[in-house]
Amino acid sequence: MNFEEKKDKLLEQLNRATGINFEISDTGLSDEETLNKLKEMIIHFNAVDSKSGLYRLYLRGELAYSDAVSSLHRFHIEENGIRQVFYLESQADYTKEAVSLLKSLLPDSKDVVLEVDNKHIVIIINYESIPSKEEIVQIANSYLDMLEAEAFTSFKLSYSKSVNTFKELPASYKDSILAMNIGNTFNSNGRIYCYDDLGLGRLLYNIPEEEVEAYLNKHINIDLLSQIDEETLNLLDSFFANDLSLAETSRKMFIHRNTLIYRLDKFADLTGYDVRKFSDAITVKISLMLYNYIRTQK
Amino acid sequence: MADISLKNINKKYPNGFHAVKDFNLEIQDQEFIIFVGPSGCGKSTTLRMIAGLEEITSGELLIDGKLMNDVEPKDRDIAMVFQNYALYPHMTVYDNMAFGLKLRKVPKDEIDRKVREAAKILDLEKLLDRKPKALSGGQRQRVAMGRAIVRNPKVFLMDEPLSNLDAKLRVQMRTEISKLHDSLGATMIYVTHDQTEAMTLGTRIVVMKDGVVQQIDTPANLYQKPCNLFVAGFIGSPQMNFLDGKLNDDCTSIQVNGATLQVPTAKAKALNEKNYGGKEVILGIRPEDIHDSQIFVATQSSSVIEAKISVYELLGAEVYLYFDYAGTQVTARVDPRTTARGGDTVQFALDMEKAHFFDKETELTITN
Repeated sequence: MNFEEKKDKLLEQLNRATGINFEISDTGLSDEETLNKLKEMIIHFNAVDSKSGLYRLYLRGELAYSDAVSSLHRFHIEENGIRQVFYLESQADYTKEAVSLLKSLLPDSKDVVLEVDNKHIVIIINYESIPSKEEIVQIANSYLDMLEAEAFTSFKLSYSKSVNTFKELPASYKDSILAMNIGNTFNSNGRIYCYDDLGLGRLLYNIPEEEVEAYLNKHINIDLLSQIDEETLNLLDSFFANDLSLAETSRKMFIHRNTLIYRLDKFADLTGYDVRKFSDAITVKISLMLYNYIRTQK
Repeated sequence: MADISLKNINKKYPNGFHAVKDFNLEIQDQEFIIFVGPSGCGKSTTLRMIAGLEEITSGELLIDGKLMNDVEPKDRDIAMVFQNYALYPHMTVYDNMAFGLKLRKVPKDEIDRKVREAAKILDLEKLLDRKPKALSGGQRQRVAMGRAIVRNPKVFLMDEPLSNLDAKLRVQMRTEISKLHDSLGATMIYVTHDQTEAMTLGTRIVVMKDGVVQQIDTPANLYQKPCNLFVAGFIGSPQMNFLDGKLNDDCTSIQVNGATLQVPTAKAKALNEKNYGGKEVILGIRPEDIHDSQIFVATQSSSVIEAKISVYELLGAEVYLYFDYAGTQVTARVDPRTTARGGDTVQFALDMEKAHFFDKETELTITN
């Protein structure tokens, strides 16, 4: 498409957004600058033309706070107020039913259900007081269960801290997306990811792949890790989750204490790391997380 | 309603995690099947594969003989009830139950008929005009069930539907689900980690661990004839006691922590035939098969052990006595009239007719 065609198309879009016929006089701008200016105008007019458009562009950072804030009054959006952003990701393209269902669960006009793309939806819920973690997890679980039971669509959900002002929303949105990406990398079987709970994952996510491989080669190399059966991996997960307690792990996993000891010994023979020792446990925990990271990247 | 067939079903995630391994099961029409096991055992994943919420990596899922692997969840004629239900806050009970059908553009008169039928089954007829905030916890749960019933599905799938309820309500809803199964005559698959729920609701139970089916059987058979150490430990509360022991050469007795316990003839014969003479095995004994009554101890003198009670727990209709034996904590469930108390050294007789023997390496049952 040449410049003239692109320009005409953008002018047509601008006409649809504003109801005004624009013409371009000699501006002294280059072709590229002219097209960019037109795109900016479309974004701006689309944004101020609908509440969801405003939120969408503002969250993505495509609309400056100073531009967005001037439209708040028009859409009855309060600048101050406690809000919680939820970022939802579906396995397959979601259906209209999923969006209708979420809107029905959130009938308050202050709350927002925003379609980001075919796989992502953002929900912004207003609260009277700062919601507790239990409240957030409960509501998140109920949305996910409802979407599966009623709209037959499987979603994951991530969230960050609740915010007190409109200004903080884009940061919370970004953190939620990051939580989803890190969660999918280090805990792909998870369902709800909280930015504040990412722990080691947040740190390890930023390590370059070659550094990861170097670490694994120094401690437990990838070939060795790939030989460990899932039963042992599950046991190690449970052992770490139960603060390296043999009694608690065997109770939770419904296995005999001696069986657990036998399997940990076997793991120690294979890798040279005895996870009953704190320092070895840390090395194994990090190695397993990095191994997951490598597998997800590939 | 429907027959369901799962043939060599596997679920492997892109990161290599093999969540369900070679799952095989034939579910008859109107059966109430329970998937039970500890968290991470693959029970919910299997249910979600039946629902179509998870892709099946390999194997075949058939409902009424029709291959369902690539059929969209909404076209599988199933209904799901999950742990975390939410009701639409601004809608009445009627509209809450009708909402799913409205989304699917079902004709209005059909919706009305189905909602009223479901309300009748669930005893919600008088509450149809109420909003969720005016309902009790149990009534809300019934509305959530109603949403599944109005679909008139071939199969009901329930994933820990009672987990969020308090203990009293859970018992009440358990009875209601059982009645519902009888009145609807539906095929139901129910996932739980609670073995009491599994034992009381299921016609058959599938016990899973690490993505592998351990045993599929009736509740009574699972309790009385567990196929391995895991099932024996998982089914039953308090769980079965396990003691390390060594059989004598002809398997007529077993040495446990210095005590010699006589093995009943039929069990000794089975152990002998399988060449366990002189070998180390694991002896399994349920808490109710350990007795402290004088009469039992006197008549079962060939299977008596002595131990110091560490904890005495009175539960009303029964007493739990805890003691350490052979490095293991053992629980005995005895009559509340027992005179034994914490700190006492007591003689216990094991009912060896009810004892189980497990291979120490494979953990499989040798004799039940």
